[in-house]
Amino acid sequence: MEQRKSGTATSRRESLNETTYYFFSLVEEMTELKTVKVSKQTYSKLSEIAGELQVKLKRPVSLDEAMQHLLTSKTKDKGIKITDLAGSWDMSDREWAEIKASLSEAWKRWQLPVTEL
Amino acid sequence: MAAARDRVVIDTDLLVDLLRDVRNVVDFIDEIEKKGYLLSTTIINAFELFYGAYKSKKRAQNLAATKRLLDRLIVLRMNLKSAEKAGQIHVELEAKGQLLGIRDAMISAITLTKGYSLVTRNIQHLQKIKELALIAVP
Repeated sequence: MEQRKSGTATSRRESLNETTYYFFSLVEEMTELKTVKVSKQTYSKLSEIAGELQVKLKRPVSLDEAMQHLLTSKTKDKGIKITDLAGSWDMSDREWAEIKASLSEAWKRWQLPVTEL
Repeated sequence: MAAARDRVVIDTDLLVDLLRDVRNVVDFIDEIEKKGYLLSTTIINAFELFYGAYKSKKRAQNLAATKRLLDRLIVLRMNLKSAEKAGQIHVELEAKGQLLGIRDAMISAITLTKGYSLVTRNIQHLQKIKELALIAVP
């Protein structure tokens, strides 16, 4: 019985040490972190992606890492290149020049028509 | 925040030239894409692309292409930090008598505060903003 009590105390102490270690690791990490608010839907999708990555990489993957993966892979994965879209607008030089002039005017006006609520 | 050379915001003119298949721009973007640069644009440039697509004769086609392009790029949004920076840039240049459009102030501020470099043809004009890292298209 004594032995069991002692064994339990030791394992609790170890567990506490482990918790303290993770707590301080977390605090250390958190100094480099920023808080973001995401919707439940986004959170759930991110968790799914983190889970998929975890399976692929065979190690724990945080939501932060999942987000970084998404950001960097957006243009690199699946062989998708931005330049694949070259020529996908149908617009002559003249048409673009006219639109550009119109856009420039729009910026100068910098206001929208007032409508009654 | 120091600007990383391998994280770039691409200005509207260049994105339009890419979509219109202007060869030197396509080659340039292809080159930086192959080098692994993180390609992005800002929400202001996204507005300009949509404006162009909606105003064009081939609206449906150009709008679909615009959405596909923006889906592949990281679109940097304006936040409180970049809004403050845009205000600061605009007022400081105004005080020096160096006028800069609201649009340029906003794009520059978003680029600066997120730690990106700006790829643009508008180098001479934007050099007024000392902290802004600029990349010219050859």
